[in-house]
Amino acid sequence: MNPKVLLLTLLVVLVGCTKPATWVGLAPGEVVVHERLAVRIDGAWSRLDGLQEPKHDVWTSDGTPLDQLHFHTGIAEGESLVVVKDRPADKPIPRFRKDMQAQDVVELYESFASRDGSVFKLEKLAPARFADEDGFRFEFSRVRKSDEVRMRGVGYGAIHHGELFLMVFEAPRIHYFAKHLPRVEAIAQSAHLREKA
Amino acid sequence: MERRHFIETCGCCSAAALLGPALRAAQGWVVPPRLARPAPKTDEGGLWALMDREEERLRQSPFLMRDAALTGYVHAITCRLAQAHCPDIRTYVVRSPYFNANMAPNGMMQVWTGLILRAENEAQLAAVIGHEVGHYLARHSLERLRDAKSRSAFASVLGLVPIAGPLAGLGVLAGGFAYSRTHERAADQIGLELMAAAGYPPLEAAKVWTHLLEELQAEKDWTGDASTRSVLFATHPTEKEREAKLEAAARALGKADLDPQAQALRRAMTSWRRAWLEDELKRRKFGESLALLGRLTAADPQDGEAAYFLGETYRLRASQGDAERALAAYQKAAALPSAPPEVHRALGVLHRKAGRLPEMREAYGRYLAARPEAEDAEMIRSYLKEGG
Repeated sequence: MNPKVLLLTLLVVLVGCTKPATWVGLAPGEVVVHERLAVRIDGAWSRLDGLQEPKHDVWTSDGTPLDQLHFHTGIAEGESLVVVKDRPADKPIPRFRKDMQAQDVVELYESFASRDGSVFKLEKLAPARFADEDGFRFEFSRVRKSDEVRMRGVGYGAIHHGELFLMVFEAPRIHYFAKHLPRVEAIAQSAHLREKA
Repeated sequence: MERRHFIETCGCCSAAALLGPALRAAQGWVVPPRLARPAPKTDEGGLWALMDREEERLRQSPFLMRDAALTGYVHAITCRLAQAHCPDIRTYVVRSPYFNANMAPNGMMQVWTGLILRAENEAQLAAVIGHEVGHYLARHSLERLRDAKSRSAFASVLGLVPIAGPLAGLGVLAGGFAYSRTHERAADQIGLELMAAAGYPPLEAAKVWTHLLEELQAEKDWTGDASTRSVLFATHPTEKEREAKLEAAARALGKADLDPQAQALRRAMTSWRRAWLEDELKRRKFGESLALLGRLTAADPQDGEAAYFLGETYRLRASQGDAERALAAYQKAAALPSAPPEVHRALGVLHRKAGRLPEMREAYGRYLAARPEAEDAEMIRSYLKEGG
């Protein structure tokens, strides 16, 4: 790429961040994510405020380079996991379809997690209860492209009345994944659906 | 900034480099003596030091292929081309699905797996490596560094590398800053001559170009606007003419009856090809992937692996009629012994969605029989239970 174009793009990206995202601490107890998924937390989680995504939430405990907990709540037929803007036409946006099986949903998440060129590998996929549904649980590893850190992740998903509910936690393989895993599993076990208002 | 696009652009720089503008003989050029390490305080010494640091980073990278046999095979091709310069060159195979190779002035040669996957034979791989060796032997990067116009661009690239990420950075530093057309012409011709001297049929270089153009055209046909982003289309509008000139230059060198070594390349990548095809699909460049897999399945109709991945590409593209195309490709693959067991899982998924439970059970059963410890075995077993 022409370096000038690259520089300009970077500038546009930086200037475009008009509303800086901030982290807001979450109180222990029940939290309802985007009014659709109720979970119980033990505190020490912060939520990214200003994401401007109606169906996607990002939480962290020790900061996003060290751990991230993503919620995708009520993704409907034809929607993507996250809001995608200005994507080139030759990069079709992977979209959710209600007839997707667990493997398809993991692939959908993979396309999101490897969009920067990260190497994603599914390690395990098994049936699991999640959000009052017969869903699935998956484990994966990922080499994060930006800094080549080896990550581990666990996700829970379920499709309820044609809508996808997905919760995915990811942290560096060394220390941080194991540190938070029991807390994340507890959150997954506590998840309950809320019907649309 | 989308990193993948950035990397791809760099890949195209090198692809464009190989394919180059109108060929012209590098008249009077002879293989120079081995390059001595420049004094540290010179500009060339600084460039080498920078590349040494990049090379150290590359050695640590999880994207580096650590298969001694594979790396040794590619290095042997490099040596065959570089002749007496071989002791000065280190070859690294980098796991990335993009078509790319580049060589840094300090002797660091990178070959990306997307290039190896696309080569039909060793001669085609040698064509790209030979072109890069050509830049190295002619010390083109130094000339670019000393060229005032490119110096500021080069500096900008260096400053931006951390943003692009380590892998993209390596590509940019080692070969991403564009060479001049004169340099490309020279490297094209040197590459062809090195190929001929090493015993490879030079005409294979033109075929690499043809295949790449076919892939880009297929992407353009599929998306309608590949031309707006591809370096090849954007900056080299007369690619067809160049293709013809490259072919003419190769024909002038003769040696068309030399063995392009198709089997040798296939053997060298056998244990990796499947993983690289998976990487290829993750690019989500369906036009290019379909052109590649169409070529592979046409070249060898018994290639069950390629047939399976052709089905996977249609399934992931999920356009009108793609489900039927995927099913047809899977069914063809399932009848071939070289298909991976995952073809049965893929069939199982389609049968389950269509409510064809007996077929689903048979397909999933075959998958689990071949891969009882598969990462998704538990999930599949739950489908078999629900299917009665």
